[in-house]
Amino acid sequence: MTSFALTPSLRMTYASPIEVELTRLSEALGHCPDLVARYPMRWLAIQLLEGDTLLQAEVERLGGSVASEALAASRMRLETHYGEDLDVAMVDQRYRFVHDLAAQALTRPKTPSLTMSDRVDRIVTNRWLGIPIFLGLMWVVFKLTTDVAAPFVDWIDAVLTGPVSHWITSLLSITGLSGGWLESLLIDGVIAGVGGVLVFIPVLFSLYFALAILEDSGYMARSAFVMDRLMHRLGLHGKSFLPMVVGFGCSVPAIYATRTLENERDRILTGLLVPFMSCSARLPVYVLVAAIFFPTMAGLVIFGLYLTGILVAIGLGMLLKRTLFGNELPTPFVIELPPYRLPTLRNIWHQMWERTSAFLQHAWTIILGTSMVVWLLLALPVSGEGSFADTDVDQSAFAAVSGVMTPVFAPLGFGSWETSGALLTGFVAKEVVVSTMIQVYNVPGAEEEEVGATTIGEDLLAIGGGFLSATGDALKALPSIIGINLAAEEDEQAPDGLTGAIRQGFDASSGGHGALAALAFLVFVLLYTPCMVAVAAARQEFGSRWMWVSIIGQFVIAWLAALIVFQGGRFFL
Amino acid sequence: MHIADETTLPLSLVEVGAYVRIVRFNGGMRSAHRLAELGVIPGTELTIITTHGGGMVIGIGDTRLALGRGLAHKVLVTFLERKQ
Amino acid sequence: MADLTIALAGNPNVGKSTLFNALTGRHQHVGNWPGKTVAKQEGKLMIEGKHLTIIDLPGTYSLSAHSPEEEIARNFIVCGRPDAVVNVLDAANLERNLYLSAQILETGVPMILVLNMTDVATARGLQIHPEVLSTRLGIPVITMAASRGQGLGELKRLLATIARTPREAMLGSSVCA
Repeated sequence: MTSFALTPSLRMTYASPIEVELTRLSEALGHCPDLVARYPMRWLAIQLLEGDTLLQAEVERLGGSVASEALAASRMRLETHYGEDLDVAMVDQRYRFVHDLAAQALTRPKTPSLTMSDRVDRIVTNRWLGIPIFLGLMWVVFKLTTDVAAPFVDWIDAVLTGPVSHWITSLLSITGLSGGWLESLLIDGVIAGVGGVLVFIPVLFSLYFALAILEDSGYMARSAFVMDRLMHRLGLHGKSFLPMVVGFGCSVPAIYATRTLENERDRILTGLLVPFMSCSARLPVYVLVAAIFFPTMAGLVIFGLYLTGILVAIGLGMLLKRTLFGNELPTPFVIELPPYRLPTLRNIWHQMWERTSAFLQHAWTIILGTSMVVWLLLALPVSGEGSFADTDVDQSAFAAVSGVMTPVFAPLGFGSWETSGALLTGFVAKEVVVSTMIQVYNVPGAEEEEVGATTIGEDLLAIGGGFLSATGDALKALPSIIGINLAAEEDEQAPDGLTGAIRQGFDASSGGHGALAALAFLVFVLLYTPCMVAVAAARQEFGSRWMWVSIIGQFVIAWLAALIVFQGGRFFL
Repeated sequence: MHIADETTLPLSLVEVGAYVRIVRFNGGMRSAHRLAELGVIPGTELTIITTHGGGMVIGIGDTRLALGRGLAHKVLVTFLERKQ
Repeated sequence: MADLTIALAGNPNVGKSTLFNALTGRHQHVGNWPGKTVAKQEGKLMIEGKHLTIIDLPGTYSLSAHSPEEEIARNFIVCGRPDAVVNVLDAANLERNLYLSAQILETGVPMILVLNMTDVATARGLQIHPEVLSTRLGIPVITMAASRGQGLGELKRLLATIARTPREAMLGSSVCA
């Protein structure tokens, strides 16, 4: 058995001038009981001489002028020996100590050779191949989170709106509560809300699957290196790239991912730009609106939106670099490259599971809560003759609240209470924009889908079959990643009544330029605040001040961009 | 410090595969402390594994570090004979 | 109420999270890029009737805090008063990893060295002599290949001994007073 001293018996000694000052300084600091209670004295003295600014502030706060003067005096005396490089000299001495230790504890092979990782790096970070390989991998990630996840999103949606809603209706009718406000609350409030959360799972799952492979294999660190020069030109840092990529999945983990950046300026700047990366929650809005107004070129419109987000981030990055963050030198780029490793399935699975569930735990309360509030506002009549949970939408409290916002959006071509309301709820979470639009444009009778009486057994079969066919569709989508399209083009058909209502709504609010207004609307959705959770994350990471800068900045940029699209387009058309 | 007997050149100009020693940093180095902690200190010997866009991957012992372009310009090195 | 608090510290990407998962049964993400554990993670472990709280600190190259995650690690080691710090090292990159150990040494906190990834080191032809480190530093040193489960038993036995030993016996002199 090992001896039980866990406290190390070996003490590392520095060069004698430093040791002398360490003794003096720890003695001087030792007179301050607050410091003694908190820190080991010798360690504190070492850190202070090494120039730790956080601890220096702490010493000034707790130890007062006596401690600060002792530190300044020690530093002054050491300057004759080491000049400005005392900190580096101390690191160097520590490394010498470590070098001796390692030399004793390690026998090396005679000829150090290039490792396998080095050989791979010569290809992966090659000056010609580096960026193409990187872009290729990003394309695969993008396709995974869109095409491969989509069939499962549709499946979950179908299960919730079909069998699950149907079961609830049946259950309520058994207990004699059907048709009332409770049914409305459960179906339009709870199920819609839960659905808003659940449809996220396939997207996040596939995103985290891709990220897990990139991370576990060791490629992620290489990507930062490969992208450093480009990011540098944008006033960013190679390490900013990772949060940006994550931002295409979800802004929330992307904002947290900025913690890997060492410099505060880089972290905040990256955090401000991340929300412009079009997150996956915005995609359903694009799909719905583009399918209605640009059925023949929906793909192009969506791609253009993603590109717009990137361009806005680039432009803003360059602008901020020259203004708000102008007088700071960029941090030099240095990152450790871990050896390449084969990812293990177990790790990947854990990662997908943990991260997805962590996100859902954060998000479900907000999304479900919003859905209920919207339902409540929609159920409350403020004018007309409707009663609770049985009122026309345009006479509801929701219409009244949203109506206040309409003048703001009028110059952008979508100043109707319906769109204002959808955008208002979209501030809470983008995934509720679509469900709000469906709720508010709901033409009486148009949405009633004829559901024949089915048994639970039939429902379960349908659910299982749906999952299998979703899996099939996802597998068919896999080859499309490399450009082979097996799946026959399917037209995303919005319900007819809804299409008509949305079209009419945009036409009315834009004076006949419905398509243009819809495009402006999409640009606005792309650029304004991603969601409440992202706002909360930004506040936690960067503080309230930057949170407000972020919210207001995004709103102004979104408003201006939408204005340019609508008014500019109207000028030319 | 006066270095007359050694020819130094910026790390960024060194070819892949070369074996060099860091002599000093050129100009003000904002993160000299951090770099030192990662093992990039004057006196350190390293090999160039690969280069990309002015940046490079260097090997210091068993550590592999990627350095950005700006950094590679500021690190002055001298060539060494490869140890047998 | 935990009887003992054990902190896992080490450079980024040395397999701390894998070890944490193996010890506590909690599954936190394990990645192969620096800086993935962004906040400290907590897990529980029961050994010989004692409750151990295991804290997985963010990976850090040094105790001079250059980023918020390094600050978290530093503050916990110095002021969180763990009963022991398990310093996880990449055996295939020993020298650079020992730099952090040298700094933890300076805090005087009770510590254990875990030389992880010995399988990778061996594959590269490196021969490690843990007993030399243990003798020189005067602390327990364990070799491990956490991804294969090797060395885990030994660490658990060591933690069990720590759990049995009265606290005063482990502390030569008091740290963080």
